Amino acid sequence: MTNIFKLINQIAIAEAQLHTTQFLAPCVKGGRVRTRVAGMVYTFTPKPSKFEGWGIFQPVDEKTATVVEEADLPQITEYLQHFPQIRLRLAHQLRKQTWLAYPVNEADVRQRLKVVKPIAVHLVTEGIAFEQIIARWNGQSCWFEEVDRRTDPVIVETLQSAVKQLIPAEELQLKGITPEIRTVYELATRRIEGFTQPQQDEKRLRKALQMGGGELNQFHDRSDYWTVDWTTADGVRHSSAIAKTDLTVVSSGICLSGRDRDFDLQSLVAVMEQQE
Amino acid sequence: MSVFFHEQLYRTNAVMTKLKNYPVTICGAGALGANIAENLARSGFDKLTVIDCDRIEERNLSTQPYYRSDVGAFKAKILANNLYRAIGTKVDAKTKELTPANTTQLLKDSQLIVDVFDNSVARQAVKDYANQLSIPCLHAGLSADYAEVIWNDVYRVPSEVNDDVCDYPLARNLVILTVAVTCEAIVSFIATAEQRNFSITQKDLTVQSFFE
Repeated sequence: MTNIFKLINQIAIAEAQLHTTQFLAPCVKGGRVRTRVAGMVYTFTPKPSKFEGWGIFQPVDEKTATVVEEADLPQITEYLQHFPQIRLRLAHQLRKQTWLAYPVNEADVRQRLKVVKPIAVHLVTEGIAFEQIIARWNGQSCWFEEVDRRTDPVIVETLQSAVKQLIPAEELQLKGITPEIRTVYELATRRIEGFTQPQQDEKRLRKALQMGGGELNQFHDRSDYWTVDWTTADGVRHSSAIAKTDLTVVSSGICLSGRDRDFDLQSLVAVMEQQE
Repeated sequence: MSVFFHEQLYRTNAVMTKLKNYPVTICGAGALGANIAENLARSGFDKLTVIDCDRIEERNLSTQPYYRSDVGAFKAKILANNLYRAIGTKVDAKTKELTPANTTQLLKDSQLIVDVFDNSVARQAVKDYANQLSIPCLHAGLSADYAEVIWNDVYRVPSEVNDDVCDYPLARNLVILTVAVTCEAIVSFIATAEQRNFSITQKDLTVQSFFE
């Protein structure tokens, strides 16, 4: 039988080590981070408390761990490799970097997770609606790994165009459509009846471009800015990075001699047309 | 079988081992820098550092290996992520502006420097640092339909007049040709210690030894 004092001593040593050990963990905004030492799970509130992303943490006491730095891609990949991969298609954003997604192959997920249902995927840093992604399931949560480069990008564009045309899920038709794609489309469109934040954002961007004489094609959320795909009156397409706060230009796509911030989305249209 | 199977057959195992362990810093992740980094990584270099503080712009997409969805992000960061995803090479990305004040901090671990910056101030800082510490440094630059690939001893920093000009003529084919010449100059230097300088002209498709 294990000596209880020896065991307590072992745990005390492990706890002491914890305060000098940095650990890698994913963290959603307002969430907590965990690590395991000597078989015991320790949970910490991150500092700063609003941190979201993959971080290297240093415990400061029993309850708090500071973010030392953001983890880089090789570190994240190494961490994720411990968990099984699943292929999902993004339906819509739930909050910040958390998206609702649905399995690309129901049969595969039923075998591995025993149940098929929409799944929340965290820390989606580069996703757009309907994109197929690779995620990792750690038994409790699902973490974004990367966009699946093996899939046909036309499916994403076709589904996004169908949303704009308000085509009902049951009437959706595209080459290679699967029951899973139809389910994702249903999940994404089900919430469009109300006036949601993405719709407000789209309206704001569309209005600014229209006032300048341009037209919005699509836009993607990049945390503090949008990548806006738009067209000038003569049909030339552009991609510009636009700040969310005041629609000023983060990156125009043409040379503005470092003065990009002097322009906003509306005035950028005229600048681009003069360039052409 | 290695990712670098064909390169290995051509270069020999001894050279490939040298390339793998040779720390190279690429100053700039634009048309030349990004393609040179990709080319070196795919040729077997495993200790690459890329320094660039710029973000990706739409007009970069014709000459640089980035995607539309990358517009607005840091060039060095995206480049490092792409190469890690593609072939597993861990590129050290530094998204800082190189100035005479921080050259030591940014370049201290490199055994070979490749200068492909787009401005004379940064180029001068790199040249001075390489001179001071006697570190081999290769400069590559483009101008309309002409390009040069020149080692530090012979190199002269271009005039500041051409700095901060972004709307210049630039052919992708010249970029790719210059990238190939630069990378070959690097590999042959590591293999034989010979420093070869080149001039390249696009219209007549010539690559010649550069004479001062």
